[in-house]
Order: sequence, then C-alpha cells, then structure tokens
Amino acid sequence: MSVVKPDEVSAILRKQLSGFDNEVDIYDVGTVLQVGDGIARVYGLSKVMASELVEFPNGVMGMVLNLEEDSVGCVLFGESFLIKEGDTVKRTKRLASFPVGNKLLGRVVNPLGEPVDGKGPVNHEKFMPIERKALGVIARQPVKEPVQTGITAVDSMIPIGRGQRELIIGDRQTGKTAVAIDAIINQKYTHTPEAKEDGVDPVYCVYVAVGQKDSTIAQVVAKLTEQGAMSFTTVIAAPASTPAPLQYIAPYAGATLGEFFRDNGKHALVIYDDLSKQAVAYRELSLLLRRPPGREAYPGDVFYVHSRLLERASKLNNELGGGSLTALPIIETQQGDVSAYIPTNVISITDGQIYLEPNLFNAGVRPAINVGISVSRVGGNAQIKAMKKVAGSLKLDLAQYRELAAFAKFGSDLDKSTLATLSKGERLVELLKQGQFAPVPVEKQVVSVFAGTQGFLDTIPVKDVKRFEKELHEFIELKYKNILTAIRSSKVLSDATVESLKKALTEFVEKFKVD
Amino acid sequence: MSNFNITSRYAKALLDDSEEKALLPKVHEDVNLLLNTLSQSVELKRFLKSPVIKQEKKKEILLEIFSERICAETKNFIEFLVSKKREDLIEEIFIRFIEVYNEKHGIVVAEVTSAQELSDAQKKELIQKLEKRTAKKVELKYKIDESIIGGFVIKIGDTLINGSAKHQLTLLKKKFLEEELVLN
Repeated sequence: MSVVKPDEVSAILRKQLSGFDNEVDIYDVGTVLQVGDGIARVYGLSKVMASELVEFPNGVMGMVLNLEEDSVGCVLFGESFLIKEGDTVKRTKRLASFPVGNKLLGRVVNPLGEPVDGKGPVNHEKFMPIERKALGVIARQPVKEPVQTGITAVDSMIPIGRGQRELIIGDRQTGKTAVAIDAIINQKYTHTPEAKEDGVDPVYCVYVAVGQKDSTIAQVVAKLTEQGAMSFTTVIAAPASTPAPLQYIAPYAGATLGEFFRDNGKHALVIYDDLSKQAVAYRELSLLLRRPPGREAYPGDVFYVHSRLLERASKLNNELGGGSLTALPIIETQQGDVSAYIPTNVISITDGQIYLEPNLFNAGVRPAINVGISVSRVGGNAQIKAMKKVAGSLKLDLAQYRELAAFAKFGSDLDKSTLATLSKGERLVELLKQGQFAPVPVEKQVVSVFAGTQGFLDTIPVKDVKRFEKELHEFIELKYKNILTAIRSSKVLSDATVESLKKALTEFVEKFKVD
Repeated sequence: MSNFNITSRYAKALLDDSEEKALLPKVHEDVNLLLNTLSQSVELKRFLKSPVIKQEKKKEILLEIFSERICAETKNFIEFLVSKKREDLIEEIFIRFIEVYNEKHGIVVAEVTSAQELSDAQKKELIQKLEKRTAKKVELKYKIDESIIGGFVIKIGDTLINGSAKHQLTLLKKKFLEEELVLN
C-alpha cells in the first residue's frame, strides 16, 4: 500500500490555491417565489434572457422559459424538492447549450451533455446553443445524395436523401425503432475504405431517446455496440424517469450535435425517438407554466416546437462545405389514428412518411411498411440511378397487386392475367420482407428487385422466395461479382450490366432447387 | 404580485400630480414618514388590511394619525385611496412610489452587508466608487451579518457584488472539487 505524505498533499493544495484569485464576484440574482412540479417562479433576474441557464442552490440547473412583468418562469432540470422558497437564483449568462465534438461519438449522454454511460468525462470541443435558427434558403441546396437504410422496401420505394426529413409513423409495437436502428447500423458501410473509393461520405448518427424506458435505451445501446455501430453514434438519453424539461430539450440537443457535423462538411443522421413523447413533455411544462391549453390540451405553439426542430435538417450548399443533416423523427399513433393533432402536424412538416401498420406486422410482413401510403417527397432525386430504374416497375406492380388483392378475396373465376399479377405481387411482398439488424447493401437490393420485377421469381413458390434471394446473393457474389462492383461504383445499370444480370439470373433459376 | 399593475398606476398618478403642483419634495418626505410608521406598527397594517372595518373608520383613523404631519396633497391621496377601496394596498403603493421616484431622479438604493460596522470613511469611499460604477446617485442601506465572515456584499437592484470571505470559500471549495487531485 502506498503512503501519501502530508507535505505532498499540502504541496498540491498550495499549487491549486496559487491559481485562485480572490477577486470580487459580480453576478445577477433573483429570489424563488414559488416552486413545485419542476417549475420555479423567480422574482428578480431582471436582465435574464429567454432560454438562459440559471443556477439554483444544490447544483440544480434551470432554464428560463417565461419572462413576465414581475416574475420569471423557470423549468428545473433537477429535483424540485432541493429548492425552497426564498432561495437565491444565479444567472449564468449562458444560453442552454450542448457540448459538441467528435469525442461525443460512442457515448451516451443526457440532454445537457453529461455522460450517463460511466465512461468518464466527455472531452467536448465547444458548447453550442441548443436552440438555433434554421438555415435560410441561400445556404441550402436540393437533396442529392442518398442515405441508404439497408431496408429494401425503403431504399427502393421510399428513398431518403441526405438532408431530408422522413417521418416514421405507426402504432406501438410495429417496429418503428427497428427501422431507425437498422438505418444506423447500415451507416457502418459508409465508414469503410471501400465506401470512400465509391465516393460515399461517412454518415455520423445521433439517436435521441425521449421518454423511453431506461431498459429499452440500454438494449438499443447494446445492440449498436454489438453491431459495431456505436463508434460513429451518439445516444442522447432522456428516459421517462427524467423531468419533463429535459425530455423537451433532448431533440434540440440532438439537432445541435447533428449541426456540428453538418457545419463541418460532414453528414449526420439524427433520429428523434419519439416526438409524441416530447410533445407530451412540452404540454406538461406549458400547462405548469400556465400557458393556455389548446387542442388536446397542447399549447398553441406545439406546431412551432416541431417545425423549428425539423427545419434544422438541411443540405448545405457547396460553398458551406456541402454537409447535411438528415432527420428521422418518429411518431407513435394511437390505434392507427394519423389524424390526431401531433401526427398531422409532423406529417405536414416532414418531406414524407414511412407508415407502419400493425395488421401487416401481425401478418408477418416485416418491416410492416404500408408502401401504398408511405411517400418520400424529395428522396427520389437522391436515389442512385440503378435503383431508380428497377424500382419504377416495383411500385407499379405492387399497386396493381393491392388493387386486385381486394377482389381476389372473393375467390373463384379470375382470368389468367389477373392471376399472373396476383402471383407476382405475392412474390414481391415476400421479397420485401427482411429480418431485423440485417441491412442489405444497395447493389444487392438492386439485384433482388430486378429479379422480382423481371419475372424471374414467377416459377418460385412463395415460401421459397426468401431462400431464393439469399442464395442468389451468394451465387452472384461468387460467380458474377463484377455485376455488384459495377452497380456499386458506377451507380447506374448499364445495358451491359443488365445483360449479364439476366444471364446470371437465368442460370441461377435453373440451378435453384425447390424442395 | 398581480398587484404590480395597480400599485404602479396609483404610484405614478401621485408622482405626476405632485410634480405638476410642485409639491414633490414634500410628498416624498411624507411618503417616507408613512412607510416608516407602517413598518414599525404591525397593528396599523393589520387594521388597514382588515375587511371587517368600515372605510370611513379607516379614513378617520389614518387622518387622525397623519393629518398634522403631512401636506394636503398626500392627505387627499390617502382619502382618494380609501374611497377607491385600495387602502389595503397602501404600503405597496407607497413602496412603488419610492421606486418610481428613484428611477425618475436617477437614484439607486444599494444594500451593503458587512460582517462589521463600516467606518464613515469606508462608507464615503463606497458611495463614491458605486456612484462612479452606476453613474447614478447611490443611497446606501447598511446591514450587519456576521455569517459572511469578512468583506462585503453589495446588492444593487438584481446585481450582487460579492466580495465576502464566505463566498470566496465556497468558490475555493468548488475549485478543489472540480480539479482532479493526482497523487503520485
């Protein structure tokens, strides 16, 4: 056991003392008038700014939300029982801000940037305010590069571009988070040297968990770590046990971190899981601040809460570095009711939505995406040409299938062409099914969709479609690797590639054994 | 605190009216006298706030106490307040009056807390320094609080100038806790 000498300790203390200058400290103060339910009313603080951080006793921080004639309304980021009437409140002269920097990757932090993963202090570069004005028209350019989610149904028919805002909406237990997590895991590819060769820039991910169970967040973090996706991901955790104000600011903190990457010419993917819980947290603190309730008791500015958050997603122009911030907000609906207040708001703000349905989920179609009503308003421009070429007919085929499937339920006399459409549709639906945490690279997606739409699956029984796809990928990787490389590097489907793809498929269909 | 609007209105009315009639210095003196009396007598305060006692009675008693010592303008104002049934807010209105008066005349009130009584020379120097800093006329109120150990704390409006030994110790403690002690 080592012994600490007393003079050693005093030497260190003396060293620290020498750096301590006893100057007079000047600061602005106020007095707590009323405290409770995570809200404090403060008298004084006359020069305080809206959304400034203030310091209460016992290390509790607060944020100023209401500036009134004779008092200031603060929300508390800590427990309200630590504060009592008459306590002194100190201004910090710092707007609520979040620490940003590359060192945050791989970490789990709370919305104030304090680590909650027990890996020691976060070495941030700087603080950036959590509320920032979204960029204007001049700073932006149209979305043009894809974010590959690795989910065939999404990448083929509801493509997402870098800088887009795509809503993931659905009831509870329909796999909303799974879609988002798959999207993060698939970004692992963008951090490889091969991706660099193909001109794909790396995407950094931020996962904002609002109002979820601590155990769920732990699961997500464990899964991301297991899949090797944590090295380029930051998790901002505001679980259900944290006070409403922290849940309310969590998405803004995530956007701030995303903006840090974007402004440095990098690409960020931010997932807000989920915004309905954030709206509920905001409703709670608005009502406690006595703001008048409106529809569903949400305050009047709940639309602005979401619009100013999602408006921060953007694709910068090339002069500004061409970085991007893609937002994937998640909204949970109740009993499939998309016409409730918050869902309609967020649907109108975003550039499209991925709609997940419990019926499909229970029927075994997973991911349970309803491709009929899911749209992406800008992603089409970002899709790689090869995918665009094959996906056109996929959408059409599926639409025709859905139309006929309703009739087919009555059974009986169906003509030959109807039967053909139906059987093709069934196979396509089967083809689009995909396991969780199993993202498929885009070149393989193109091959699958090509096989499906060009009728190579027609002779395969529906139950064997998935096995066919798997073995097809293996076969092509072994014997026709040049097809995959060609699609990946040139991003187009040239006539030559189509020819060799057709040849490969014909060869494989003959070889494929149906048992 | 919802009385803020009401008290401001009455206080401003009194200020403007007495200024028009060139009675402001006298009224200001009267208000100070009234406030002093009120702060010393809990009974008077309770009496004014009581809803059971009739307005006439309140007016009578108020005038009986003060009419000898205050000018007609202030007397009229008190009568007016009672007739408007605002006699329960009388103290708040007068406090607000002083605030408005100070604001108008560029006077700031600073509260100085020290561990020991300050000497006259110290007080004079303090006033000079503060007047230079705020560019306003400074009125000092003194308070003794031994718990601050040494130094002084000055409160001007919402700003605190904290030079107390107690605060220095708190800062020092914070600093020690912040930095990691590496023992080698």
